[in-house]
Order: sequence, then structure tokens, then C-alpha cells
Amino acid sequence: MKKEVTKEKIILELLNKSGDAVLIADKETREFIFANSRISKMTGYTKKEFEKMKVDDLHPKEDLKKIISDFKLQASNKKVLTKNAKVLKKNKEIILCDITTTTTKLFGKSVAIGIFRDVTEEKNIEESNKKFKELFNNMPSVATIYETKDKGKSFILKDINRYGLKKEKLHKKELVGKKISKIFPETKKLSLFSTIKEVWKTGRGKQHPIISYKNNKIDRWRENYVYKLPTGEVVVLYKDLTKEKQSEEDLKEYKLLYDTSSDAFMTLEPPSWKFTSGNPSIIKMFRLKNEKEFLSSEPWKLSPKYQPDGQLSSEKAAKMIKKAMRNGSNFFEWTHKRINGEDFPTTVLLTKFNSKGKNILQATVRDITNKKDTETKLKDEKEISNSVINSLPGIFFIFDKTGKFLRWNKNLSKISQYSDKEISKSKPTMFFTGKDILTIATKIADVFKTGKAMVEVNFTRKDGVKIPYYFIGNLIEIKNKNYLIGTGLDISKRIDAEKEVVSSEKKLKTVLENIGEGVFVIDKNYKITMFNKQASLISGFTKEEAYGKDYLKSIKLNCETLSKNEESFIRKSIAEEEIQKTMNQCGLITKNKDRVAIKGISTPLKDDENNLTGSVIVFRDITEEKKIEKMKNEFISIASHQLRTPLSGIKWFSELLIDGEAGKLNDTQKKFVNKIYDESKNLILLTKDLLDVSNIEIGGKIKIQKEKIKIVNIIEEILKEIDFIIKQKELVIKIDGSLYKKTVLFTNKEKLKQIFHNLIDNATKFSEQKGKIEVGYKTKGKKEIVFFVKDFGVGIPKNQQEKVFGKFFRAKNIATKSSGTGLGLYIVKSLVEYQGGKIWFKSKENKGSTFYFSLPLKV
Amino acid sequence: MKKILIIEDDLTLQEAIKIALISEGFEVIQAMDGEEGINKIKSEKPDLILLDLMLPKKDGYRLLYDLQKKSWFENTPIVVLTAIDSEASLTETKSYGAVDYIVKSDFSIKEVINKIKKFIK
Repeated sequence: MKKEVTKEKIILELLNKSGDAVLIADKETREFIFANSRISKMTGYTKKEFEKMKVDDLHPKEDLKKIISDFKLQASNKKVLTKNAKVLKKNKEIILCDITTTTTKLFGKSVAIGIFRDVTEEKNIEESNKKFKELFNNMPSVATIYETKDKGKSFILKDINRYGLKKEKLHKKELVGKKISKIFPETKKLSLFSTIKEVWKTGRGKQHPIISYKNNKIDRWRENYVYKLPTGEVVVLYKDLTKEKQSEEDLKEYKLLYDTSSDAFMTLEPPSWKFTSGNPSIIKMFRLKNEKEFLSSEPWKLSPKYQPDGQLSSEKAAKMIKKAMRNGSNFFEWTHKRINGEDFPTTVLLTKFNSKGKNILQATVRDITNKKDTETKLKDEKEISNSVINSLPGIFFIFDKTGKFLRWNKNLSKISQYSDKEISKSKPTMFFTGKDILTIATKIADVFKTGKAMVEVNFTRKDGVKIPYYFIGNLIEIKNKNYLIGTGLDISKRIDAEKEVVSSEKKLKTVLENIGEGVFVIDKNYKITMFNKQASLISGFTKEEAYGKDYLKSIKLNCETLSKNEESFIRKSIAEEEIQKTMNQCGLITKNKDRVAIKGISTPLKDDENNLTGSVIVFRDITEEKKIEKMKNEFISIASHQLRTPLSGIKWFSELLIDGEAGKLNDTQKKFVNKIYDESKNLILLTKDLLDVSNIEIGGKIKIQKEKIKIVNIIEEILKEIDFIIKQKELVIKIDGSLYKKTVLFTNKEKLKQIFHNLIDNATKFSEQKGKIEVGYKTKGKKEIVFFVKDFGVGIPKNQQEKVFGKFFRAKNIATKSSGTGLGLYIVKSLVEYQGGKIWFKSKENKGSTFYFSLPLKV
Repeated sequence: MKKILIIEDDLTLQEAIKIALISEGFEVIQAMDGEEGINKIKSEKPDLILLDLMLPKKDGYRLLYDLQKKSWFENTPIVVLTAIDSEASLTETKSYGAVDYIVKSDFSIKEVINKIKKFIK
């Protein structure tokens, strides 16, 4: 055994050192018994690993059947060769091996000894040679093989491939054995020759492109590859890349555009027309997260439901796609929708192209929001400016230096009566006639010279009618060209108004100047700003002396002196901003120191904002009036006295007749004489009233000391006097008892009595049967007492109330019913005011009247 | 029978008052101006004088003034009967001794006579 072991050991030792890769497997179990170092190296399995493997593990399944059958075939001492058996390396790589197997007995077992020869390389070379030849002939490049026999000085063509022959349109026979410099003379020029030489010398392959450009675009691109074959031959291979490079270049541009363009590019494919690709802009444009979101988006998600024309987006899109497919391309405007829901206007260009035998569409979408905005803005702007221009109240126009009209508003044609066509052919001077042409031409020149001009000139219509116009021209520059932009306004109304103002002012001035009253105007500092002829005549001062000076320098009024503030009417009207009249009369000292009585009225002047600017004073000399007034009063006084005696005679004799002094009268006679008696009494009353009035109007001359007068006597006396009528009318007279205790200051009792008498007498007269009369008072502070006499009678009609205190006033509702002179209330008012009091009343027709009068309690 | 002197230049009024006074039982004597009035006062010694103020030759005021200085005047009551309706006139005549001042037109004859009667004892 030991011997045998040794012998077997030696065999294994030998096998182990063999340059061949050897594997020994049990013929029965196909388990490996032995593996030498070589096979380990070849397959990557360690010897130990082999001990656990069997033949089945070493070959891929597809080859296993054949190998196993070969393995079984092996008979003793008979070699079996399995060619190109695939061997599975530990790293799963497959190598090709020729396996020579012999069967022998070892360790008492029948074993198969396999010697593996790796034929992968050989096979590859063989394969590649074959492929090379095929490639060489079929490659879409021109390939040539050269050899050199003079150590690289010249290269002789040995072979050329089929493509080369086709491309160069040559026959192989004409080329083989000929020098490269003869076949392709340009190789030297293009330095390809030196490359070939270099490659032959170094053995390192080299690329040698030949590129030429035309118009900055690739015209020719030939890529040459030069290799040295192991045989020492040199292969020159060239490929014409012009087209590729050109398209590559285009593609590059396209790619650049595709990636960087703000336009969105996408492809859509039938039949669903979903997006199949898209550039980065899409993501931005539609506010998407990434391309994936885009590709997963339904196309309808990126458009609103409806397009602005009202069509459904889906329907319209189908139409657009159909059109693009039919015509090859379709360009249209489209409203898209961003993923956030915002609509935006775009233009879309759909282009049909063929990809992998399929007609698909490429879409270029451009966001035109800004463009659209600008367009809308421009459009709006123009519309606005047009409507503004056309709605201008006057004429508007723009013309250039030659006078050619660029734009004008409707008013120009409407007012001028020239058509737009006529205007477009005419010059600005067409609208003017006579000397106005020269005026307007000069002004136009001024605008182009100085930038601005304005003029009032007559605008002549087509029918020759002239309208006064005010034109303003301004220079404007549009696209480096100067134009005159102008407007014209109809000023006929203004001119008419001005004429009117001038003439009415003139009229007013003339009237003021020549009016019979003195008129002057002062500013708020009392300086005279206007002084008419009559003012000058009355005062004796000339206009020149009066103007600009304080009014008191020329109109020396004693009522206006500072010490008599109360009587001042001019200063009061300025201070109180109200119309004021002279109280009674006012003395004016003329330049010649004469004294003139005047009456005047001062009216404050206000500007548009209601600020006081001064006052206008109208005054007149009342000296003459006063003389006449005096004569009148004297006449009345004398006449009423003189009338009284004969009137008393009539009265008394009629009384005697009634009393039967001349015999008894029958009833009719008595009635008649009674009438004479009553009328004479009325006449006497009238003379008395007239006398009172004249006395009042002469008034104020005699100052009589005021005395305290008790009211009580007065009222009692009056009541006694009118007792008859009270009884007759059954009147109730209610008198405030405390009234009797009152005393007032008055010049004389008779006059005070007259006041009460007249008021109470009126109240009885105008009360109805069984009417009521109230007499009372109320003190107003300690200085004043207010008395009142109230009746519930006929009252005073509203429209006559303002005349109540006038002379000879008799209200219409009582004029025919009762007697009276119409002087009673005038006398009362005069008496009250003379005493420094006031009188007023409240009255309502058919409800009654209340008369109030105030009197001072102290001096 | 009481004697009343009427000094009045207006005959109509004189006549009216005369009738009324006579019918009241008075004796009436008349003067047409101030001078005649003075003479009649002196000669007739009336019980009351009715004096008008606006008289020829010597007016009522003057007459009143002068009478005060006559030693023979026995303070016969003088009632002024006038057309002058004036406070000043009233004051003036009263200061010269007139006992009453009657404005003719303001009163009826009856009232005038009633007023006179008060001053006749």
C-alpha cells in the first residue's frame, strides 16, 4: 500500500507541477479527487474547494448534458476530447476549454483525468479575426491597410474595405500595391501622412480628424483613426462625420435651447396625446415640482376648462392637434393653467415629426403674459388717449414741421367742417384767413423755435365763418422728430362775456358817476377807493383829494366821529358786516365849512369767499328836504289849529240842535244832525293826530325834563274815557293789578297816556262783541319795562303787518268797519322811540294782536 | 243871575256858547278882542271869564298877564277856552292865574258848561 501510495503520490506530484490544468474526478460519483495548481489558477477555486465539488458544478447547465455524456463515454486508455467546453469560473465567468479526458485507476477507483486547456483567447482571436474581416468589409467607414517596405518612408496600400471602394468609387485592383501619396495626395497636405508614420513608429494608435468650416458651420468632418496592426501593417480608418457633426451641432444648439430656453418644449404622443418629454422650463412655467410631476400630469390639468373664446379646452386642443397632424405644424394662442390654478396666455407651436416610426408632436409653449400685458396696455393706452383726445372740449392736433397733420381729434373736423381726408392733405394755415394766416404761421414757427407759443386768433371754418379761438402749441419729440402738439379753445363766449362786462361796467360806472346821490367806496381800512361826482359836489372835495385817504378827511360826518360811536353807520356796517342807515340825520361839514344834513346807507362789500373788503356808501344832501319838511309841518300845525275853531263850531251847533235849543227835532232830523256831530268829531281827531305827527317830525328840538309818572292814573283815565264803548261792546278788560304801582320816566303824562290810549282804543275797536282785552307788563332787567296790550279780535293780515307803523295805515280787514285816521300807531311808535324805547307786535288774523312797547326805567 | 263874559273873536263859537249858557240860566256878555275884554271885565264885573287865547289887539296870554297887574281886578275866575292844544300853553296860562284850560275841540258844549259851573260860586 505504502509503495502504491508513494507511486500515486509521485503521479499526483507530477500532475501538480504540470503546466497543464488537471482535474481528476471519480468516474462513478463525478466528485473531484484531485486538482492541480494550474486549474486552481484557471478557475479561481482552491484545491480544497475542488475536493467538495463534482463535475456538474464546473459547467453551465446548458453544456452539462454533453460533458456528462462525454465523461461517461471515456473508456480505458482512450482519450476523449471535448472541444470548447464551457467552464464556469468561481467568479461566474465562463471560459472555453478543450478538455482531454482519459480514464484510469487511481487509489483503487476508476477515475477520469481531465486536462484543461483554456481556449478562450484563441477562440477570441479567431473570432475577432473573423469579425474584423467582416467589420472591415462591412463597416460604414472607409478603412485601408498599408504596409511599408522602406521603414516608413512610404506606405503601400494593401487592402481597402468594401465601403471604401464604394465611397471612393474605385476598384480594388487599381489601388492595391500603390503608394498612399499617389492614391490620396491630400494625406500629406492634411498631415495625415505624418500621423500614419508616427503610428507606425510608436505603435500607438492615433485619432486624426480633418475638419473644415464654411460660414461658421461644419462643412466637412472626417474622423481618421490610425492603428498599427501586430503584423506591422497600418490601418487607416476614416469616417465621414460631417452629417453627424452637423446634426450634432444642431442638436447641441437645440439642446441648449431645449435646456435653457424659457419656452417650454414637450412631446406628445398618440393616441392619448400625453406628454412624453419636457424641458426644465416646463417645470418653471407650470410651477411643477419636477419632470416626473409633469409627465404624470394629464394634459387637461395644464389648461383651464374653457379657452377665452368659450370653447372647451379639451375640444379645442383636439382640433389643434388634428390640424398640426394634417398640416405638419400649427401655431396658435392658448390659455394655459399653472398647477396653482392661475391662467396665463401662451403661444403654442405644434410640429409633427417622426420618431421610431411614430408620428409624434413636439410642442413649443411660450408664456406671453408680459407680451400680452404690454399689448393690452398699449391697446388700452391708445384707446384711452383716443377717447381723451376725442373728448377734449376743444380742438386737438399734432403736425410736423412741414405742417403735415399726424393726429387730430373729431372736434377739428366737426368744427372746421373739413373732412378727415381734407385735413390729412392740408396745412394748418388752411384754417385761417387774412392777416391771421401770418399770425398763426409766426406762432407755429415760434413753437418749433422756442418750444411753446399761444395765440388768440380767428379760426375760419370751411364756410368762412370765423370763430375766435385760443391756441396753445407745444413742441414734442416723437422718435427724434419734432412735432407741434396743440389745442384750441373756442373763446367766443368769453369774448362776448368780456365785451358784456366791459360795456356793463362802463354803464355802471357812468351811472354811478352821474347818479344824483353821493357814492363812495372804502376799503376795510376806511380808505376811499371810489368817489363819484355827487360825493364831490356835496363834500366840496375833489376826487383826487379823496382817493386813497381815510373817508373822514373828505366826508366829515359828525355822526361818524369816534365820540359818537352809536350813531355811526359806516363804521358799524363794517364792524357788523351789515347794511346800516343813518339814524335820523347826520351833519356833514363841507370843504367850505358849511354844514349839510345828510342821510346815508352803508353796504358792506364782500369778495367771492365772503370776506369783507370794504363798504359802499350812498348818501344825499337832505338840507332841501328838511326845509320842505319843516314847511310842511308848520303848515300842518297851523292848518290843524285853524281848522279846529270852525270844526268846534260845527260840533257845538249840531249839539245845540240835538239838545233842542232850536226847537224839537223829529227823529230823522235828530239822526242827520247826529251824523254831522260825529263827523265833526272825527275831523277834530284827524287834526289832532296830524298835529301830533308834525310835532313828532319837527321833533326832538325841545328837550323837556323827564319825570316819574304813575301808570295807575293814566289807565284809569283812559278807561273812563272809553267807558262808553266798553259797555256798548260788553268787553272784559283785564288789567294786571301790579301795573298801577309802576312808575316810568317820561317827558309828560299826556304823551304817555296817548300811547296807552291809542293801543287800548285800537284793542276795543278791533275786538268782537264780548271780547277780552289784557293790559300788562314785564320788567326786563332793571333798566327796562315792557308793556303789552292784548286783544282777541280781528288781528292784522300777515301781508300787511310790515306797514302797521306807517302813516295813514289802515288794515284792509277793518278799513270799512271802523273809523280812524291811520295815524295812531305811527304816533305811538314815534312817541315810544323818542323816549328811547321800542315797539313791536304779534298778530294773527282772526286770533288777535298783542302790541308790546318798552320804556326805560332809568335815564 | 250869574254873569259870564265871553272873550272870543269867532262869532260862531261865541253864539253857540251864549245859547247854551243862557239856556242854563246865565247872563252872557261878550267881547270881540283883548282890549274890549279888559274893558268889559272892569266895567261889567263878570262872575266868570271865558277867554280865547288867539285874539286881535291883545291876545289871551297878554290879557292874563296884564290883568294880574290891575288893582281893580278882583280875581274873577278865568277859564281858557282855546284851539291851542299845547302843554306849554297850558302851563303858561295857569302860571298867569287861569283856573282851567279847555281845548275847544276836545269837549262838547255840555262838558264845557259843566266845567265852568265848578268855578261859579
